[in-house]
Amino acid sequence: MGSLRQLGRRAYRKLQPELESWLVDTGAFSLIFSSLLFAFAVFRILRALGINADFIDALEQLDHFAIATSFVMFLLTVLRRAYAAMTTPNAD
Amino acid sequence: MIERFRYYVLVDHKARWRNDSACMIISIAWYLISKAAGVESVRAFKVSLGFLIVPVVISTLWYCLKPQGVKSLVEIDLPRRSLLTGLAASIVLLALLGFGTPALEAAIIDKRLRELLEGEPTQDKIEEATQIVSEANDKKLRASPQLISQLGQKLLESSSKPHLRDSALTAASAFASYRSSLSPLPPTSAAPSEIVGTIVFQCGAEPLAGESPIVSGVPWVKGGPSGFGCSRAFVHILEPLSTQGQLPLDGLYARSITFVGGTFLYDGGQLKLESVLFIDSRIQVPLTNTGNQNVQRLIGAMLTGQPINLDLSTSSPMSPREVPFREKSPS
Repeated sequence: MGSLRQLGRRAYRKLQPELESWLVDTGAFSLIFSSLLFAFAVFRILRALGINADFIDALEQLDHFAIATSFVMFLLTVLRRAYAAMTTPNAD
Repeated sequence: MIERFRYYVLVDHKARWRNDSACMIISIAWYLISKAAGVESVRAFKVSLGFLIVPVVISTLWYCLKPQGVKSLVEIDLPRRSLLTGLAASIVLLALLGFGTPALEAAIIDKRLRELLEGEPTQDKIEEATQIVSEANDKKLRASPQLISQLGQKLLESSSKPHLRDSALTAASAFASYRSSLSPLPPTSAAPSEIVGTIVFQCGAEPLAGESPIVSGVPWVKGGPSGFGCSRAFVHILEPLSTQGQLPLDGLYARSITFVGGTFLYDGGQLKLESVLFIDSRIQVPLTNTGNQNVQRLIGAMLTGQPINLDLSTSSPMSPREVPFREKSPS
Protein backbone atom coordinates (compact mmCIF):
# COMPACT_ATOMS: atom_id res chain seq x y z
CA MET A 1 0.00 0.00 0.00
CA GLY A 2 2.81 2.33 1.00
CA SER A 3 4.80 1.62 -2.15
CA LEU A 4 1.70 2.21 -4.26
CA ARG A 5 1.23 5.59 -2.66
CA GLN A 6 4.92 6.35 -3.24
CA LEU A 7 4.56 5.36 -6.87
CA GLY A 8 1.53 7.60 -7.17
CA ARG A 9 3.40 10.51 -5.63
CA ARG A 10 6.34 10.05 -7.96
CA ALA A 11 4.06 9.92 -10.99
CA TYR A 12 2.19 12.98 -9.79
CA ARG A 13 5.44 14.90 -9.19
CA LYS A 14 6.56 14.07 -12.69
CA LEU A 15 3.26 15.08 -14.24
CA GLN A 16 2.63 18.08 -11.99
CA PRO A 17 3.77 20.88 -14.32
CA GLU A 18 1.80 19.43 -17.21
CA LEU A 19 -1.19 18.81 -14.97
CA GLU A 20 -1.26 22.37 -13.67
CA SER A 21 -0.98 23.67 -17.16
CA TRP A 22 -3.93 21.54 -18.30
CA LEU A 23 -5.87 22.59 -15.25
CA VAL A 24 -5.57 26.24 -16.20
CA ASP A 25 -6.82 25.64 -19.73
CA THR A 26 -9.52 23.04 -19.21
CA GLY A 27 -10.87 24.84 -16.16
CA ALA A 28 -10.96 28.16 -17.90
CA PHE A 29 -12.56 26.77 -21.03
CA SER A 30 -15.14 24.83 -19.02
CA LEU A 31 -16.03 28.04 -17.25
CA ILE A 32 -16.37 29.91 -20.53
CA PHE A 33 -18.54 27.15 -22.06
CA SER A 34 -20.74 26.93 -18.97
CA SER A 35 -21.24 30.69 -18.88
CA LEU A 36 -22.13 30.85 -22.55
CA LEU A 37 -24.55 27.94 -22.26
CA PHE A 38 -26.05 29.53 -19.19
CA ALA A 39 -26.66 32.64 -21.27
CA PHE A 40 -29.00 30.57 -23.45
CA ALA A 41 -31.00 29.60 -20.39
CA VAL A 42 -31.34 33.27 -19.49
CA PHE A 43 -32.57 34.09 -22.99
CA ARG A 44 -35.18 31.37 -22.72
CA ILE A 45 -36.39 32.74 -19.41
CA LEU A 46 -36.71 36.19 -20.95
CA ARG A 47 -38.74 34.70 -23.79
CA ALA A 48 -40.93 32.76 -21.37
CA LEU A 49 -41.64 36.06 -19.65
CA GLY A 50 -42.97 37.35 -22.95
CA ILE A 51 -40.00 39.50 -23.89
CA ASN A 52 -39.50 38.82 -27.56
CA ALA A 53 -37.39 41.77 -28.50
CA ASP A 54 -34.97 41.71 -31.43
CA PHE A 55 -32.04 42.23 -29.11
CA ILE A 56 -32.61 38.78 -27.59
CA ASP A 57 -32.33 37.21 -31.04
CA ALA A 58 -29.18 39.20 -31.69
CA LEU A 59 -27.68 38.21 -28.33
CA GLU A 60 -28.54 34.58 -28.96
CA GLN A 61 -26.76 34.67 -32.31
CA LEU A 62 -23.78 36.30 -30.67
CA ASP A 63 -23.82 33.63 -28.01
CA HIS A 64 -23.76 30.94 -30.71
CA PHE A 65 -20.76 32.59 -32.24
CA ALA A 66 -19.02 33.03 -28.89
CA ILE A 67 -19.45 29.30 -28.20
CA ALA A 68 -17.99 28.45 -31.61
CA THR A 69 -15.14 30.87 -31.00
CA SER A 70 -14.25 29.45 -27.62
CA PHE A 71 -14.48 25.91 -28.98
CA VAL A 72 -12.10 26.76 -31.83
CA MET A 73 -9.83 28.44 -29.26
CA PHE A 74 -9.88 25.27 -27.18
CA LEU A 75 -8.95 23.17 -30.24
CA LEU A 76 -6.11 25.54 -31.09
CA THR A 77 -4.86 25.31 -27.52
CA VAL A 78 -4.93 21.53 -27.61
CA LEU A 79 -3.10 21.50 -30.96
CA ARG A 80 -0.41 23.86 -29.73
CA ARG A 81 -0.02 21.89 -26.54
CA ALA A 82 0.23 18.61 -28.44
CA TYR A 83 2.89 20.08 -30.70
CA ALA A 84 4.81 21.41 -27.71
CA ALA A 85 4.63 18.00 -26.02
CA MET A 86 5.83 16.26 -29.19
CA THR A 87 8.84 18.53 -29.52
CA THR A 88 9.83 18.27 -25.87
CA PRO A 89 12.97 16.19 -25.53
CA ASN A 90 12.52 13.06 -23.41
CA ALA A 91 13.97 13.60 -19.95
CA ASP A 92 14.90 9.93 -19.66
CA MET B 1 12.24 29.17 -31.34
CA ILE B 2 10.87 25.78 -30.28
CA GLU B 3 11.97 26.51 -26.73
CA ARG B 4 10.08 29.77 -26.78
CA PHE B 5 7.04 28.02 -28.20
CA ARG B 6 7.09 25.44 -25.43
CA TYR B 7 7.50 28.15 -22.86
CA TYR B 8 4.56 30.08 -24.33
CA VAL B 9 2.25 27.07 -24.45
CA LEU B 10 3.20 25.24 -21.28
CA VAL B 11 4.47 27.92 -18.90
CA ASP B 12 3.57 31.48 -19.76
CA HIS B 13 -0.18 31.11 -19.40
CA LYS B 14 -0.70 34.76 -18.67
CA ALA B 15 0.81 35.95 -21.94
CA ARG B 16 -0.96 33.22 -23.89
CA TRP B 17 -4.36 33.92 -22.37
CA ARG B 18 -3.92 37.65 -22.83
CA ASN B 19 -3.05 37.20 -26.50
CA ASP B 20 -5.77 34.60 -27.09
CA SER B 21 -8.39 36.75 -25.38
CA ALA B 22 -7.42 39.67 -27.59
CA CYS B 23 -7.84 37.41 -30.64
CA MET B 24 -11.27 36.32 -29.43
CA ILE B 25 -12.30 39.94 -28.90
CA ILE B 26 -11.11 40.84 -32.43
CA SER B 27 -13.09 37.92 -33.85
CA ILE B 28 -16.29 38.72 -31.96
CA ALA B 29 -15.97 42.42 -32.82
CA TRP B 30 -15.62 41.51 -36.50
CA TYR B 31 -18.70 39.31 -36.26
CA LEU B 32 -20.70 42.15 -34.72
CA ILE B 33 -19.52 44.59 -37.38
CA SER B 34 -20.41 42.09 -40.12
CA LYS B 35 -23.89 41.56 -38.68
CA ALA B 36 -24.41 45.30 -38.30
CA ALA B 37 -23.35 45.72 -41.93
CA GLY B 38 -25.98 43.18 -42.95
CA VAL B 39 -23.60 40.40 -44.00
CA GLU B 40 -25.27 37.00 -44.32
CA SER B 41 -25.04 34.99 -41.08
CA VAL B 42 -23.13 32.00 -42.42
CA ARG B 43 -20.59 34.17 -44.20
CA ALA B 44 -20.13 36.42 -41.16
CA PHE B 45 -19.64 33.33 -39.03
CA LYS B 46 -16.95 31.82 -41.27
CA VAL B 47 -15.04 35.03 -41.89
CA SER B 48 -15.06 35.93 -38.21
CA LEU B 49 -13.70 32.51 -37.29
CA GLY B 50 -10.93 33.20 -39.78
CA PHE B 51 -10.31 36.42 -37.88
CA LEU B 52 -9.78 34.24 -34.82
CA ILE B 53 -7.43 31.64 -36.26
CA VAL B 54 -5.13 33.99 -38.16
CA PRO B 55 -4.42 36.34 -35.19
CA VAL B 56 -3.84 33.32 -32.92
CA VAL B 57 -1.23 31.96 -35.34
CA ILE B 58 0.36 35.41 -35.72
CA SER B 59 0.44 36.08 -31.96
CA THR B 60 2.00 32.65 -31.31
CA LEU B 61 4.66 33.18 -33.97
CA TRP B 62 5.31 36.69 -32.75
CA TYR B 63 5.90 35.45 -29.21
CA CYS B 64 8.27 32.78 -30.48
CA LEU B 65 10.24 35.08 -32.75
CA LYS B 66 10.40 38.26 -30.68
CA PRO B 67 13.76 39.19 -29.08
CA GLN B 68 14.47 37.34 -25.85
CA GLY B 69 14.99 40.61 -23.97
CA VAL B 70 11.31 41.50 -24.03
CA LYS B 71 9.98 38.09 -23.20
CA SER B 72 7.18 37.90 -20.72
CA LEU B 73 8.36 36.40 -17.49
CA VAL B 74 5.02 36.45 -15.78
CA GLU B 75 3.60 33.06 -14.97
CA ILE B 76 0.31 32.22 -13.45
CA ASP B 77 1.08 31.33 -9.91
CA LEU B 78 -2.19 30.17 -8.48
CA PRO B 79 -2.35 27.61 -5.71
CA ARG B 80 -3.57 24.47 -7.43
CA ARG B 81 -6.12 23.56 -4.84
CA SER B 82 -7.83 26.96 -4.76
CA LEU B 83 -7.84 27.11 -8.54
CA LEU B 84 -9.44 23.69 -8.81
CA THR B 85 -11.99 24.39 -6.08
CA GLY B 86 -12.93 27.76 -7.50
CA LEU B 87 -13.34 26.54 -11.04
CA ALA B 88 -15.22 23.40 -10.04
CA ALA B 89 -17.59 25.39 -7.80
CA SER B 90 -18.29 27.91 -10.56
CA ILE B 91 -18.97 25.19 -13.12
CA VAL B 92 -21.27 23.27 -10.76
CA LEU B 93 -23.15 26.47 -9.90
CA LEU B 94 -23.62 27.41 -13.54
CA ALA B 95 -24.64 23.86 -14.45
CA LEU B 96 -27.21 23.79 -11.64
CA LEU B 97 -28.62 27.11 -12.76
CA GLY B 98 -28.68 25.83 -16.34
CA PHE B 99 -30.53 22.65 -15.36
CA GLY B 100 -32.93 24.54 -13.13
CA THR B 101 -34.04 27.03 -15.73
CA PRO B 102 -36.21 24.69 -17.86
CA ALA B 103 -38.42 24.14 -14.81
CA LEU B 104 -38.54 27.87 -14.17
CA GLU B 105 -39.28 28.56 -17.82
CA ALA B 106 -42.15 26.05 -17.79
CA ALA B 107 -43.51 27.52 -14.54
CA ILE B 108 -43.51 31.02 -16.05
CA ILE B 109 -45.38 29.96 -19.20
CA ASP B 110 -47.83 27.86 -17.16
CA LYS B 111 -48.56 30.79 -14.87
CA ARG B 112 -49.12 33.22 -17.73
CA LEU B 113 -51.48 30.86 -19.53
CA ARG B 114 -53.36 29.83 -16.39
CA GLU B 115 -53.95 33.43 -15.36
CA LEU B 116 -55.00 34.40 -18.86
CA LEU B 117 -57.52 31.61 -19.38
CA GLU B 118 -58.94 31.61 -15.89
CA GLY B 119 -62.72 31.97 -15.98
CA GLU B 120 -64.64 32.53 -19.17
CA PRO B 121 -62.37 33.02 -22.23
CA THR B 122 -62.89 36.18 -24.24
CA GLN B 123 -61.77 37.06 -27.73
CA ASP B 124 -58.80 39.13 -26.48
CA LYS B 125 -57.69 36.49 -23.99
CA ILE B 126 -57.88 33.75 -26.58
CA GLU B 127 -55.82 35.76 -29.05
CA GLU B 128 -53.20 36.53 -26.40
CA ALA B 129 -53.04 32.88 -25.36
CA THR B 130 -52.59 31.87 -29.01
CA GLN B 131 -49.73 34.31 -29.29
CA ILE B 132 -48.02 33.02 -26.13
CA VAL B 133 -48.34 29.41 -27.24
CA SER B 134 -47.17 30.12 -30.80
CA GLU B 135 -44.12 31.98 -29.54
CA ALA B 136 -43.35 29.23 -27.03
CA ASN B 137 -43.64 26.67 -29.84
CA ASP B 138 -41.44 28.68 -32.20
CA LYS B 139 -38.74 29.16 -29.59
CA LYS B 140 -38.99 25.59 -28.31
CA LEU B 141 -39.86 26.67 -24.78
CA ARG B 142 -41.18 24.04 -22.39
CA ALA B 143 -44.49 24.10 -20.54
CA SER B 144 -46.54 21.56 -18.66
CA PRO B 145 -48.04 19.12 -21.24
CA GLN B 146 -51.02 18.43 -18.95
CA LEU B 147 -51.85 22.11 -18.65
CA ILE B 148 -51.57 22.63 -22.40
CA SER B 149 -53.94 19.69 -22.99
CA GLN B 150 -56.36 20.99 -20.38
CA LEU B 151 -56.41 24.58 -21.63
CA GLY B 152 -56.57 23.40 -25.25
CA GLN B 153 -59.68 21.34 -24.46
CA LYS B 154 -61.21 24.34 -22.74
CA LEU B 155 -60.63 26.44 -25.85
CA LEU B 156 -62.05 23.67 -28.01
CA GLU B 157 -65.19 23.73 -25.91
CA SER B 158 -65.35 27.51 -26.28
CA SER B 159 -65.42 27.08 -30.04
CA SER B 160 -69.03 25.98 -29.68
CA LYS B 161 -69.93 29.62 -29.02
CA PRO B 162 -70.59 31.28 -32.38
CA HIS B 163 -68.81 34.55 -31.57
CA LEU B 164 -65.66 32.71 -30.42
CA ARG B 165 -65.71 29.86 -32.91
CA ASP B 166 -62.91 30.90 -35.29
CA SER B 167 -60.51 32.33 -32.72
CA ALA B 168 -61.10 29.50 -30.24
CA LEU B 169 -60.50 26.80 -32.85
CA THR B 170 -57.40 28.57 -34.14
CA ALA B 171 -56.18 28.78 -30.56
CA ALA B 172 -57.01 25.12 -29.94
CA SER B 173 -55.03 24.10 -33.03
CA ALA B 174 -52.10 26.20 -31.80
CA PHE B 175 -52.36 24.43 -28.43
CA ALA B 176 -52.53 21.04 -30.19
CA SER B 177 -49.43 21.89 -32.22
CA TYR B 178 -47.62 23.00 -29.09
CA ARG B 179 -48.76 19.90 -27.21
CA SER B 180 -47.27 17.72 -29.95
CA SER B 181 -43.93 19.44 -29.49
CA LEU B 182 -43.94 18.52 -25.80
CA SER B 183 -44.22 14.78 -26.45
CA PRO B 184 -41.16 12.54 -26.51
CA LEU B 185 -40.47 10.17 -29.39
CA PRO B 186 -41.98 6.73 -28.76
CA PRO B 187 -40.01 3.47 -28.95
CA THR B 188 -40.05 2.06 -32.47
CA SER B 189 -39.39 -1.63 -32.06
CA ALA B 190 -42.77 -2.93 -33.18
CA ALA B 191 -43.30 -3.41 -36.91
CA PRO B 192 -46.62 -3.36 -38.74
CA SER B 193 -47.83 -6.89 -39.32
CA GLU B 194 -50.89 -6.87 -41.55
CA ILE B 195 -51.45 -5.73 -45.08
CA VAL B 196 -54.04 -3.02 -45.60
CA GLY B 197 -54.58 -0.48 -48.30
CA THR B 198 -54.05 -0.08 -51.98
CA ILE B 199 -51.04 2.16 -51.97
CA VAL B 200 -48.36 0.47 -49.98
CA PHE B 201 -45.68 2.61 -48.51
CA GLN B 202 -42.42 1.30 -47.23
CA CYS B 203 -39.75 3.67 -46.08
CA GLY B 204 -36.58 3.85 -48.09
CA ALA B 205 -37.87 1.87 -51.07
CA GLU B 206 -40.33 1.94 -53.92
CA PRO B 207 -43.83 0.93 -52.89
CA LEU B 208 -44.36 -2.76 -53.46
CA ALA B 209 -47.68 -4.52 -53.29
CA GLY B 210 -47.74 -7.02 -50.46
CA GLU B 211 -45.45 -5.15 -48.11
CA SER B 212 -46.57 -3.74 -44.84
CA PRO B 213 -48.37 -0.45 -45.44
CA ILE B 214 -47.91 2.52 -43.24
CA VAL B 215 -49.33 5.52 -45.03
CA SER B 216 -51.74 5.59 -47.91
CA GLY B 217 -54.13 7.92 -49.58
CA VAL B 218 -51.79 10.87 -50.04
CA PRO B 219 -49.58 11.99 -52.90
CA TRP B 220 -46.14 10.64 -52.37
CA VAL B 221 -42.68 10.26 -53.85
CA LYS B 222 -39.95 7.66 -53.53
CA GLY B 223 -39.19 7.15 -49.87
CA GLY B 224 -42.35 8.60 -48.43
CA PRO B 225 -45.38 10.78 -48.83
CA SER B 226 -44.77 13.94 -50.77
CA GLY B 227 -42.34 16.07 -48.83
CA PHE B 228 -41.81 13.46 -46.14
CA GLY B 229 -39.16 10.80 -45.79
CA CYS B 230 -38.05 8.04 -43.50
CA SER B 231 -35.60 9.02 -40.87
CA ARG B 232 -33.52 7.58 -38.09
CA ALA B 233 -33.55 4.22 -39.86
CA PHE B 234 -36.95 3.44 -38.39
CA VAL B 235 -39.83 2.62 -40.67
CA HIS B 236 -42.30 4.04 -38.20
CA ILE B 237 -41.01 7.58 -38.14
CA LEU B 238 -41.57 10.02 -40.94
CA GLU B 239 -40.05 13.44 -41.00
CA PRO B 240 -40.49 16.21 -43.54
CA LEU B 241 -37.69 16.47 -46.07
CA SER B 242 -37.54 20.19 -45.44
CA THR B 243 -38.81 22.56 -42.78
CA GLN B 244 -41.51 23.59 -45.23
CA GLY B 245 -42.85 20.02 -45.46
CA GLN B 246 -46.64 19.99 -45.54
CA LEU B 247 -49.01 17.08 -45.76
CA PRO B 248 -52.75 17.32 -46.39
CA LEU B 249 -54.57 14.97 -44.07
CA ASP B 250 -57.78 14.78 -46.06
CA GLY B 251 -58.10 11.33 -47.52
CA LEU B 252 -55.20 9.95 -45.50
CA TYR B 253 -55.01 6.55 -43.94
CA ALA B 254 -52.09 6.01 -41.61
CA ARG B 255 -51.40 3.22 -39.20
CA SER B 256 -48.77 2.70 -36.52
CA ILE B 257 -46.74 5.66 -37.57
CA THR B 258 -45.21 8.68 -35.92
CA PHE B 259 -44.94 11.93 -37.79
CA VAL B 260 -42.14 14.10 -36.51
CA GLY B 261 -42.21 17.75 -37.53
CA GLY B 262 -43.98 19.18 -40.55
CA THR B 263 -47.25 20.95 -41.02
CA PHE B 264 -50.52 19.09 -41.48
CA LEU B 265 -53.42 20.68 -43.27
CA TYR B 266 -56.85 19.41 -42.48
CA ASP B 267 -60.02 20.53 -44.11
CA GLY B 268 -62.41 18.21 -42.31
CA GLY B 269 -62.46 15.46 -44.93
CA GLN B 270 -62.18 11.71 -44.57
CA LEU B 271 -59.36 10.61 -42.36
CA LYS B 272 -58.44 7.36 -40.70
CA LEU B 273 -55.68 7.17 -38.13
CA GLU B 274 -54.75 4.05 -36.21
CA SER B 275 -52.19 4.46 -33.48
CA VAL B 276 -50.73 7.56 -35.09
CA LEU B 277 -48.68 10.03 -33.14
CA PHE B 278 -47.77 13.59 -34.05
CA ILE B 279 -44.56 14.91 -32.53
CA ASP B 280 -43.48 18.51 -32.93
CA SER B 281 -46.04 18.91 -35.71
CA ARG B 282 -48.31 21.77 -36.61
CA ILE B 283 -51.93 21.41 -37.51
CA GLN B 284 -53.55 24.03 -39.69
CA VAL B 285 -57.25 24.30 -40.30
CA PRO B 286 -58.86 26.73 -42.73
CA LEU B 287 -61.02 29.32 -40.99
CA THR B 288 -63.79 28.59 -43.48
CA ASN B 289 -64.20 25.16 -42.00
CA THR B 290 -64.00 25.73 -38.26
CA GLY B 291 -67.51 24.41 -37.71
CA ASN B 292 -66.58 21.00 -39.05
CA GLN B 293 -66.91 18.32 -36.38
CA ASN B 294 -64.05 16.30 -37.87
CA VAL B 295 -61.66 19.20 -37.43
CA GLN B 296 -62.68 19.54 -33.80
CA ARG B 297 -62.31 15.82 -33.17
CA LEU B 298 -58.84 15.70 -34.68
CA ILE B 299 -57.67 18.70 -32.64
CA GLY B 300 -59.20 17.19 -29.52
CA ALA B 301 -57.34 13.93 -30.17
CA MET B 302 -54.06 15.75 -30.78
CA LEU B 303 -54.47 17.67 -27.54
CA THR B 304 -54.32 14.45 -25.53
CA GLY B 305 -50.75 13.83 -26.65
CA GLN B 306 -51.54 10.12 -26.94
CA PRO B 307 -51.47 7.91 -30.06
CA ILE B 308 -54.54 8.79 -32.10
CA ASN B 309 -57.20 6.32 -33.18
CA LEU B 310 -59.80 8.11 -35.26
CA ASP B 311 -62.06 7.21 -38.11
CA LEU B 312 -63.45 10.41 -39.55
CA SER B 313 -65.01 9.02 -42.64
CA THR B 314 -68.71 9.60 -42.11
CA SER B 315 -69.41 11.71 -39.05
CA SER B 316 -69.23 15.11 -40.65
CA PRO B 317 -70.41 16.79 -43.85
CA MET B 318 -67.81 16.56 -46.60
CA SER B 319 -65.88 19.60 -47.60
CA PRO B 320 -65.55 20.43 -51.30
CA ARG B 321 -61.77 19.95 -51.33
CA GLU B 322 -61.91 16.45 -50.04
CA VAL B 323 -60.23 13.61 -51.97
CA PRO B 324 -61.77 10.15 -52.12
CA PHE B 325 -60.71 7.80 -49.38
CA ARG B 326 -58.80 4.76 -50.57
CA GLU B 327 -60.31 1.54 -49.47
CA LYS B 328 -58.63 -1.70 -48.58
CA SER B 329 -57.35 -3.45 -51.67
CA PRO B 330 -58.68 -6.78 -52.75
CA SER B 331 -55.99 -9.34 -52.12
